[in-house]
Amino acid sequence: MLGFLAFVVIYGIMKTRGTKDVDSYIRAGRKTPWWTITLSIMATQASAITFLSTPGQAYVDGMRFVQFYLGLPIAMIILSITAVPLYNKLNVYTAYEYLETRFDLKNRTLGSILFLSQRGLAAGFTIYAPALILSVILGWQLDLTILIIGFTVILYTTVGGTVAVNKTHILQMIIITVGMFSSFVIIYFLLPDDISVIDAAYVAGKLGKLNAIDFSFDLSNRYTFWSGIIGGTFLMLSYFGTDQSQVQRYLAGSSIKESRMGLLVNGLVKVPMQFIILFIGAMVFVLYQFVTPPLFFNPVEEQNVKNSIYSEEYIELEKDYDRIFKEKQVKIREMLSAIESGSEIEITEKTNDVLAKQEEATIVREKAIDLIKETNPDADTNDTNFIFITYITTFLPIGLIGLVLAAILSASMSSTSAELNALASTTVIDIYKRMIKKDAADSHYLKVSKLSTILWGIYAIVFALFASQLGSLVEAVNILGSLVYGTILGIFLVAFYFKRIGGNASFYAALIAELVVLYCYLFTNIPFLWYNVIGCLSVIILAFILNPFLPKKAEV
Amino acid sequence: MQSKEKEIIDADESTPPILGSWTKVYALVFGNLIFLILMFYLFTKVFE
Repeated sequence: MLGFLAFVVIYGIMKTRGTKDVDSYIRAGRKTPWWTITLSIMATQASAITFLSTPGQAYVDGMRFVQFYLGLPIAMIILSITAVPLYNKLNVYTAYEYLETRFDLKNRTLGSILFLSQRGLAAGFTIYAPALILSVILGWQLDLTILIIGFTVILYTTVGGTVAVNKTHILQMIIITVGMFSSFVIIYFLLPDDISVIDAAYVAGKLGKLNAIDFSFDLSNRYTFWSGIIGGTFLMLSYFGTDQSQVQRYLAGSSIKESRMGLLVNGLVKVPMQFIILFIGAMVFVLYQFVTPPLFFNPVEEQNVKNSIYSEEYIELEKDYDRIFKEKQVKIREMLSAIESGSEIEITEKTNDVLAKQEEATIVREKAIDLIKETNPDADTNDTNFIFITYITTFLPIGLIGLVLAAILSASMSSTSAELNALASTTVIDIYKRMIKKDAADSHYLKVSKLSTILWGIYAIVFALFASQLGSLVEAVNILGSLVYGTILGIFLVAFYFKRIGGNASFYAALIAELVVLYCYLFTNIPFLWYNVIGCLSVIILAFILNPFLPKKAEV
Repeated sequence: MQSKEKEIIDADESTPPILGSWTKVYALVFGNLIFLILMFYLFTKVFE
């Protein structure tokens, strides 16, 4: 694993020795082929926490999370038709540069500041979250893990810029794919001999884990077909069309054709990829029907209870849990026999028996979580992120554990490198070069870009080091994206499609829309995916209302 | 601004490496999405 880390850094630096100007540094000299763009887009989006959490999510909540991605292919088509040709021909370095061409400086500054504010914190979280999980499971020191991931990324991103990010993304996507594939194959061999893959799918399905599509329209339900196809399209349009960490990936394309193909192939493969990752999580769930799982997947919290006055009570619950699972295994086999016989009455009866055992197990687990809370009121009682890594470290052979850990670190580094790269580009192009020093030499901006990458990297590392003490702020970072994406998307959609709207109307509409989104977050129970729709539509509607009353040209 | 941007979009006459036109590639991506939704729905129903 350490060898892989070293190889990524050396490879990234070796392949980017020709980076001598700002264009090479920020847009990879616009020479990137479509397949590199596709892999780079996917590697940027697949952060380590996604990689660790997604199978765990299927284990706990079923596969319905796949609906979150249904809007992605639609967004890829819309962006290929509109944003790609515009960005390409206007020869922009950042998405926000376009806003000044279309509107004025204040819209460009607002867009870049909204991006910098949320992405800067997110970069810290991208390092912190996987480092926390790895340190808990493997006993690594948290600060050291953060420093290793952070400085490795800073090193090759600073030296090679976008070319290094894109080149290392290829390696990282290969290792992620091999890691996930290996994890899946091993589950197949670990299942009992009398349980086929089809049997396993029936077990997962009957216990509610293969709920990939839900057509019900329910605003209180976070993941449905409708929230995915409507809210997801708005979110993906905003993420891929206006977030510089993604826009920078396809701005590096050697032509409109390469950038478009990069996005569209992502639109073809991303949804099936997420489906497969979730299916792996559902299969881990099935495996743990035949091997009693830990009562709680976070070993640190579990050890805390066992070292407390609640130790005996907790151990009793563990015994109960094991007994229920053994009884459940008998019921599951009876259910599978009923399915084979085809008798609907028997299938229903046996499925209900299994569900009753599942309910018993859930009650025991809830009692265990209560003990964890009694022991430590600040304990994190959500162990979803620890499920997949527990499976990896428990069942995989040593060599494969190293491979999967390399995949997790790859995912963390690939997202962080793209974020630092984009933060530096926006800082230099939209803030420094536009407002502080306009007419310096290219070599000067290259130096500032590198310095900016280092500073944003250090900022992310410092945030990650202190994140554990920030508690609720970490949670806030998770939803910060949805709080600002809708507004940013609204500004861009007005810019793309509503030519009558001027810069002043767009700017003030965006400010009010942001307040509307904040109101929804603070005072309503609307699921976060809908913030993207609300923010975006608020900008468009308010811009139309304000436009007749405001001068079209800004006085800056 | 409007005519300039229209020119920019119209100027993109490059053809995709597959299927001969961008409209067909967009249809492929959209068709693939519909196909996946149907498959996922069947998958949900068969095993539930």
